[in-house]
Amino acid sequence: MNLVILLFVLAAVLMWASLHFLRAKDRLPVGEKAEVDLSNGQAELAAGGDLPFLGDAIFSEADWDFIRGEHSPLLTELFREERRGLAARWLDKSAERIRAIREDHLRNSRYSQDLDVLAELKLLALFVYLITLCRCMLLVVRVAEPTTPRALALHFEKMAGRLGREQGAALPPLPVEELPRSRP
Amino acid sequence: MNRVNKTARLANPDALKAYDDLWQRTLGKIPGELNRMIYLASTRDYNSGRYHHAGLEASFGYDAVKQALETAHQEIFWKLTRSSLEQLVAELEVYIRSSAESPEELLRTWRTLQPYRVAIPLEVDAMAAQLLLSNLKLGLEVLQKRRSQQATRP
Repeated sequence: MNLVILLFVLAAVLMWASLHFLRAKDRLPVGEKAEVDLSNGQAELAAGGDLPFLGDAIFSEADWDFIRGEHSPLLTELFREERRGLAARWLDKSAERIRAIREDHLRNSRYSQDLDVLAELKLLALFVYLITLCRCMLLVVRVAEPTTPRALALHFEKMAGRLGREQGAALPPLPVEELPRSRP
Repeated sequence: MNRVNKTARLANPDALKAYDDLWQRTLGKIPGELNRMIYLASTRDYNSGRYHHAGLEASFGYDAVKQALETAHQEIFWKLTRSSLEQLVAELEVYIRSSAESPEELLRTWRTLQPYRVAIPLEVDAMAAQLLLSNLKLGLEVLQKRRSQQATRP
C-alpha cells in the first residue's frame, strides 16, 4: 500500500516537474512568437486548414482568464465541461492519428530491404512516448483545470510533427514495383 | 485578406474575379466576421449544400461563384475558429447590434435552437468546427450573464 502511494507521489512529482520545464521552455520572445503564429496561419490556410493551432486553442490560458474574469461559477463550470470534452476528443483523435501512422509505417517497412535498425528503434520509442503522453494528458484533463496540460499539449504537437519527419527519414521511398498492390 | 492564399485556392481567374467582387460589393459592407459567415451560409442550399448567388452567377458563371463563395466561407470560418473567446464575444455583440431583432429574443433563440450550427462550411475539420461551436455556445452564455446582471442592477 505504501509502495503504491510512493509511486503515485513520484509520478505526480515527475508530471509537475515536466510541466514546469515545458512551460519555461515554451516561453518565446515576442518577435519569435509572432513569427510562429504567422507561419502556423499560413500553413493552415494553404493546407485548407491543417490544424497546428488546435491544441493551443483548446488549452488556451487567455480564454480561461477571460472566463474567470466574468466571476460566474456557472460560466466557469460550463467552460470546464466544454474544454474537457474538446480536449478528450482532440486527444482521442491524436492517438488515433499516431496509431494510423504506426500501422502505415509497419506495413511499409515489411517491403523495405534496407531497414535502419537504429532509426526504427528511435521511431518506436517516439511512438510509445507519444501514446503515453496522450494517456497522461487524458488523465490530467479529467482531474485538473482545463489549461493545465497546455505545455504538454504544445510539446505533444511538436513531437507529433517530428514523427512524420522521422518516419519519412527511416524508410527510403520504395520503387513502384515493390509497393503492395493490395492489402494481404 | 491574404492574397497569396486566396490565389492559391482560386486557380480559376473567373473565380478570383467573383471573389474580389463578392468582397467589394457585399462582404466588405457587412460588419463583423460572424455576420459574414452567417451571410455566406445563407447563400448555401440546406439540402444540397450548393452555394447560389444569382447576381454574381450572371456575371461570372455558376462554377466560379461557387468556388468564390466556398473559399470566402472557409476563410472566415478559420478566422473565427482562431479567435479567442473574448474576440468571439465581441463578434457576437456586433452581430446582435446589427440584427433587427431584440437582443433578448435573439439570445434566447440562439441559445435554444443553436442556429449557428448550420453556418459551418461543409468541408472543414470536424474538431475545428466543434471548437468554434463550443466557443459560440460559451460566448452566448457570457452575453446572457452580462444581460442578466444589467437587468438586476438598480
